[in-house]
Amino acid sequence: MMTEEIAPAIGTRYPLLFTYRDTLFGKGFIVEVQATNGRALCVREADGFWIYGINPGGMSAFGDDPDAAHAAFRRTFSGILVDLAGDARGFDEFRELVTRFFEDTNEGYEAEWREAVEAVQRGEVSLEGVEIVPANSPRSIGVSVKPVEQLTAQDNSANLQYLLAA
Amino acid sequence: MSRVVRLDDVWRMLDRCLPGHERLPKPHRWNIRFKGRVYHEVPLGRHGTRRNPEIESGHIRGLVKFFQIPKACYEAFLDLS
Repeated sequence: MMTEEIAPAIGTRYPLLFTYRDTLFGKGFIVEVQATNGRALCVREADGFWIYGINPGGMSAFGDDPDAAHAAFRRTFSGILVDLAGDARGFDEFRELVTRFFEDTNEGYEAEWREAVEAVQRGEVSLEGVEIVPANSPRSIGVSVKPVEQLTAQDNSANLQYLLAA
Repeated sequence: MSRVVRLDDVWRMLDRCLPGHERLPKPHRWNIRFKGRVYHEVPLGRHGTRRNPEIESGHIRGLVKFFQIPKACYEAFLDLS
């Protein structure tokens, strides 16, 4: 489990990178969305752990610990993709909506994300069991039509990995 | 237990602090759109679309940061500390 042994102080910030793959249905298409090195800021608030998206910036999630907050963030991310699939009239519009969603930065939290990266680099912040990777790892969003014959059982599983940026 | 705010107070804050925004109902959340940008995660409340539910305040912290709404404006309606 990726939890702290000692409860972190309120205000402690963790800069996260995440990579998700989703397979979902739209109007007349099956699509795969591959989000690579999305950015999010996990903050120990008074009421628990909040994760605020940086890219994508327009979302947030709560949990009693970092793992629970990230699991909620992951579910919300997939739920928003389903909303966008419902909004889109076809594949091209869906791809545009997803790209806009992913690339829209929460600039209000971006500076705090960068400060948190520096704290990890100085060794002041860590999460037990969570790998540290370069903060400038390339970010991308891929949206592609998924042919039915390429569907596998792996498409049913949600990936839940997150990493600490430094 | 996460801290909460009342959804009606969020709407009042947005009417004052983000004039021109749109509230778009989705099956499991509200979207807030302003000048082509969308904040996707304003909850409906724990029991769906009942009137003036309590919602977790952190989602609104994310929203005010996303649209860079000044604290001097939103704090007249909401305690997001």
